[in-house]
Amino acid sequence: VAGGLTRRMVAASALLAVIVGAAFVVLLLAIADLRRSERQANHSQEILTVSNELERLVLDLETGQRGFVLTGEERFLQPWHTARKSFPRLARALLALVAGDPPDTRLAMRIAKGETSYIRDYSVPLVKAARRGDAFARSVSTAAEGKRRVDAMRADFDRLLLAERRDSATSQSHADTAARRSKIAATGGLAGSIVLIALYAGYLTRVIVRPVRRTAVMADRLAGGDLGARMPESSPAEIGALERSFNVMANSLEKDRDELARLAEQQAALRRVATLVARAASPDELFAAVTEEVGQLASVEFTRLCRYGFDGTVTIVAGWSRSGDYVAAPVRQLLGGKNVSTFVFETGRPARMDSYADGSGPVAAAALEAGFRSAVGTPIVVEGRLWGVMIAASNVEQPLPPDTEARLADFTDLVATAIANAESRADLAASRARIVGAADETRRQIERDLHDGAQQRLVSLALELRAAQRAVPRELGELKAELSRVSEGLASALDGLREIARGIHPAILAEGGLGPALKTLARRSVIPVVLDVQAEARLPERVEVAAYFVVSETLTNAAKHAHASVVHVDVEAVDHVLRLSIRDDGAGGADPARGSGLVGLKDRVEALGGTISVQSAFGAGTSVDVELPLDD
Amino acid sequence: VDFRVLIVDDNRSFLDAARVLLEREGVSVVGVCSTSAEALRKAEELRPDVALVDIMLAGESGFELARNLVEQVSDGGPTVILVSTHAEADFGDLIAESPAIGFLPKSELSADAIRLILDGRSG
Repeated sequence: VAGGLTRRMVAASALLAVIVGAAFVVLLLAIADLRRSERQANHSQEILTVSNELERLVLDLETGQRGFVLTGEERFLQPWHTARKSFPRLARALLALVAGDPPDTRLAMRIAKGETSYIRDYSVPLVKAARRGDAFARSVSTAAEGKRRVDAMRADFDRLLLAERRDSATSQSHADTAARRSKIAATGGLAGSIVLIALYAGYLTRVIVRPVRRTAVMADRLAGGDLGARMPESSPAEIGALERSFNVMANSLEKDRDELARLAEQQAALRRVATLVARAASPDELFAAVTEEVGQLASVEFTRLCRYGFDGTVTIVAGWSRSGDYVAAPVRQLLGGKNVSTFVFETGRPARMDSYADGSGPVAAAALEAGFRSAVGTPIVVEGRLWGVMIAASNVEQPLPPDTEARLADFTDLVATAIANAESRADLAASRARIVGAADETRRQIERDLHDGAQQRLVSLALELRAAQRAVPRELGELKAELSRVSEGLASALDGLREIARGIHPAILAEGGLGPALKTLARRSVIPVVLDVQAEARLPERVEVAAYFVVSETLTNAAKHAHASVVHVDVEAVDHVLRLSIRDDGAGGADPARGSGLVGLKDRVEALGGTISVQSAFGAGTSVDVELPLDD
Repeated sequence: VDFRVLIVDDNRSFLDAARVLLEREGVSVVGVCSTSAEALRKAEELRPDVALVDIMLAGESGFELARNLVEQVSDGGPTVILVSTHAEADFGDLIAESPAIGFLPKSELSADAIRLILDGRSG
């Protein structure tokens, strides 16, 4: 990162260090100056002290000797002796103090020499003379000599003091200057540091704290689910990189969420369709649902579900358009030319056309008219054979997204399963219907064969026998009686045969229809039957037969097991459905799983696409409700 | 000979047996036939008193023929008695609703049985 924050920080810190360092250097120098000045002042003070001491010695000498000279009393010499004894020590101390300062050393040497000379050459001789009583001691000239010597020494002392005072003043002024300078340096350093730190803090707030706080707010919004939150990518250096990274993260989160939402939507659509498949919804209902789900999911304008014919045609069996103007109509078109339906038919694989401008053939013409501009088709393969094609189309001339085929395929698989199921169910129902129909037909045939064959033949034989009886002469009474017994046996055999024929197939059903047939059943029943038939005279034969056997079997059960006192039979044909309701007031407790009669009825009813329900709680009678469709 | 009979049935052996029996019992059988069309023509032509009509004619309904005999033959046509190998109960109300005056199971056919039905109507 050019001009990175780290470099800026280092530069700012270095500048601050330079300013603070310079201020400290100035301060340290000033302190050193002060210390030197102080030492200098102390030195001068010591010189002054020692020289004052020496000056006082001179006074002591002078005062002592004068007192002695005037009085001759030894006690005045006490300070004089002390001064003489102290002098060498103080003179050495002064010389030591002024060592290194040649003018002062010269002055000190002169003072020491003068004072030595004063003691040796004047004071001592004077005291000796006085002690002797010499007049010399009191002479004016001697006094003048002493005064001259003392004045000369005093002048030297004054000069030394003056020199020392001057030195002291000079060093004091140095110290003052240094102190002033250090004050200025400290103040300047402090002010500069404060200003710099303030600028630095302001800069940090602007380039780091504020963007970081803004990022935190955005991160909160992001965490709160507002995936549209974005940072302005305006900050420099690392913070700018942070903002860009944040936006990249937010983009990727948003993309993932959208992808998830899309997947969830697709799964929901698939589940809805799968539910329809599992519920065995009618193909029309399923096809309509699939075309709409695919249209919504793939965000296209049109979808079509088409079935290939065996004659080189394709038929639209369901469709959907976003504008809602699709009108269901089984349009049949000839395959051929350049169009998605034909491509899929020829290859058995998904196909697409990015522009219908170069399409051809009747299918393409119709598609163009409907508004197709680009389309994708996926084959519907039912148990290994190409059944049809599912088409998604756009009304703009640009390629549909590359995953459109895959999305269609998820649904065409379900459609294929549903079609296979529906075909299996239809096959099963048809085969049940055929089996029941064949059984009924066989029974009717047997009944007719009995009627036309054995029964008729026996009837004729019976009549012929009776005719023969008539021809027997009266006297052959034995033979006549024998023939009469045969005739009766024959009649009884005929009755039995009639009974069997009736059980195989009721002749009256073909002759009179359901109403009369049920009436004969009711009449023959051992339990009283209340019959109410609300139906047209004749219904489809298979329905009449089924209804007849349902009532017949139920009446037999009621008589055999239920010990009922009355049975209500209601028959009603409404809205293409024949409803049978048979209720008895018997013991109840009939178990459809146990009685083979009820199971047989169920097979018979369901083979016709009907339903049967049996309610038979113990003690509450039995009721059987049947619905039989009257249409094919 | 108190009445003249026309027998309509699609079974040849029954026609023969019935004719032999009835004639032996003194009934005049003026004709036998197997189809409705033939029956209507013979009824017009032979003017029988009684027509014995099989309910289950091949491909045709005896009830319908009974109606046609009564309605289409001039001067009221013959009195119709339905016959069948089935029992009367097997046809429920259909016999009562038809213009036939009665029913005879084929196996019980006899001149007396016919007379009984005819008497029942007049009496």
